Amino acid sequence: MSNLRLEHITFYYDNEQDVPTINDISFSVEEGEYVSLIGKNGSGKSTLAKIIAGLIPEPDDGIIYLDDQEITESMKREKIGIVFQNPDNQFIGATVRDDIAFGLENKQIPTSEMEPIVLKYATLVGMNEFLDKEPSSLSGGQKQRVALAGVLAMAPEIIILDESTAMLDPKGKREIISLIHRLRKENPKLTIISITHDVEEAYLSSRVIVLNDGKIIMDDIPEKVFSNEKELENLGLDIPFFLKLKNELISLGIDVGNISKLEDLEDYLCR
Amino acid sequence: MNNISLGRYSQYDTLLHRMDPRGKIVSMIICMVMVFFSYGSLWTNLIVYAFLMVGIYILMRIAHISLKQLFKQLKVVWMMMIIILIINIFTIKDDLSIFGYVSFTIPGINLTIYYSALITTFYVFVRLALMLALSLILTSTTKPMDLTYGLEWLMHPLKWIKVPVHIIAMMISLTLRFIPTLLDETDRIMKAQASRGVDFQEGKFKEKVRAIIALIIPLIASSLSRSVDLAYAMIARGYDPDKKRTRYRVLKWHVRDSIGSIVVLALFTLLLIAMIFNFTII
Ligand SMILES: Nc1ncnc2c1ncn2[C@@H]1O[C@H](COP(=O)(O)OP(=O)(O)OP(=O)(O)O)[C@@H](O)[C@H]1O
Ligand SMILES: [Mg+2]
Repeated sequence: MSNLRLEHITFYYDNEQDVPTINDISFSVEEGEYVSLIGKNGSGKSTLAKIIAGLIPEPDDGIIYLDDQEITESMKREKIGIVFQNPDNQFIGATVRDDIAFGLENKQIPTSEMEPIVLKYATLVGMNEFLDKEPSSLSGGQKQRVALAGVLAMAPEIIILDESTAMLDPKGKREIISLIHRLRKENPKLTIISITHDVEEAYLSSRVIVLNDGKIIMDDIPEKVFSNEKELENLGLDIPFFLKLKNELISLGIDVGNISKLEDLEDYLCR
Repeated sequence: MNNISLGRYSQYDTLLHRMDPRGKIVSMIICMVMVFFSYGSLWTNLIVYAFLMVGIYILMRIAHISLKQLFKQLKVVWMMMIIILIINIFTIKDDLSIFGYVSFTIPGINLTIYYSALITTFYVFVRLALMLALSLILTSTTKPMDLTYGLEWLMHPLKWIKVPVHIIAMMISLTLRFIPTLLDETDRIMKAQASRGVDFQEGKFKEKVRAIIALIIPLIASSLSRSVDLAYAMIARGYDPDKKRTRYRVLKWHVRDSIGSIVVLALFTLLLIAMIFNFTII
């Protein structure tokens, strides 16, 4: 069963645009998939994310289906969560616990039931020891983990990450990425759509969609997508370090076989 | 940026910290009214003020607020006090007698100063100091969040005349939430502009204005983009101002809150009676 399906989504920010920002996009995402959405600045990734999450309520054309049913506003709210880029601008509550509870308050969860949920998700993201901390005393990575907890607490089926690691230092980045991988292991039904400029991060997902000028130009498993080095380069996109290295080695006549991880390559070269 | 301590919560666990914000807010308002009353004769007034000062000082001690903190707040007031003093010296000429004297003259410049002018200025100063002390007690023993909850609860009746109390409360709490973020931002912009040669410390008036513009414009721009982000984040997490929300934090009224409020009310009534009947101690 296909979980999320977009059909011919088209969107203009204003009427004078000749080319739509989102130009007739169709694709579907299966339950439990981890899709990376990449593309150069201004290619329409965030716009697409906002359309899916219902923050841009009505695209000019096209329909979104969830489980073969046309999605409604309230379904979007309930089933789709989104984490944004700037950790400061999405921290709404005064403290970690208030922030995680914010969505629960909106969902009208009874007060007596909130505390266990807050605790559960704070623990899940490893922020249970910081419950009474204010955002100003947390690192960017910690704030993003809280944002993720706040979204997870609302029990969505699909989580969209719009460059959620872009403003973090390498450590914060790793924390979030490994958290996402862990979440997927613990809940195989959770669907992740991750918008990113980090090709290393995209390489670890189960599928990569490349967006350019509001159109999908590639949609495949990471190995396939990143094998188009020249094409991606023309779009201003990089390819993962590992693949670069591998291609370089092959061009030097060193046969590396079908190794698909950096560590394996290291082992191979050391032998 | 560190001199903005009014409104800073201090992390202690005292009786005052544990009190309900609603009780504290109402009590503070009542105390401020007490501070602003005038109680009959000069000496009665002074005695009542001395009494209020001691009371407020005790509260400050309980709340772990030092006199130094209060004086830091008063810094802002000094200029104002000097201006008020000068105005009072020239305008107040009441024949209020202290130890049998009404006025005295400064020899060199031949200026006659009435005691009433000094006393009036002194009253203003004491009132301001006590008010600052009271607000300091409230804000340093009450988390901004609880303060907002308390205010929201107290403003509840306004809903009847269609005042969107919950939206106002949300706005206040978001403002409080973003003050530290915006202070950081201000700091960052100042540093960035300073590195481009904008001088925030010295320079003529014109340069100062230019420096402030170099600070304000980027600050406004970034605040606007923050607010757009924030609005998206809030909507994405299901916030709808027109919909009912449950509450994660609920205020709890304890016996101690009743006792505290009764004490403040009793004192207030006492002083009110004293004032109405023009009760003069001396
Ligand atoms: N609110 C808006 N009003 C008008 N145009 C907009 C608005 N937001 C974005 N755009 C334009 O739409 C296009 C796509 O923007 P979008 O933010 O979706 O790109 P993106 O792929 O997320 O880029 P980035 O990698 O920089 O985040 C850009 O040309 C942008 O200028
Ligand atoms: Mg974007």
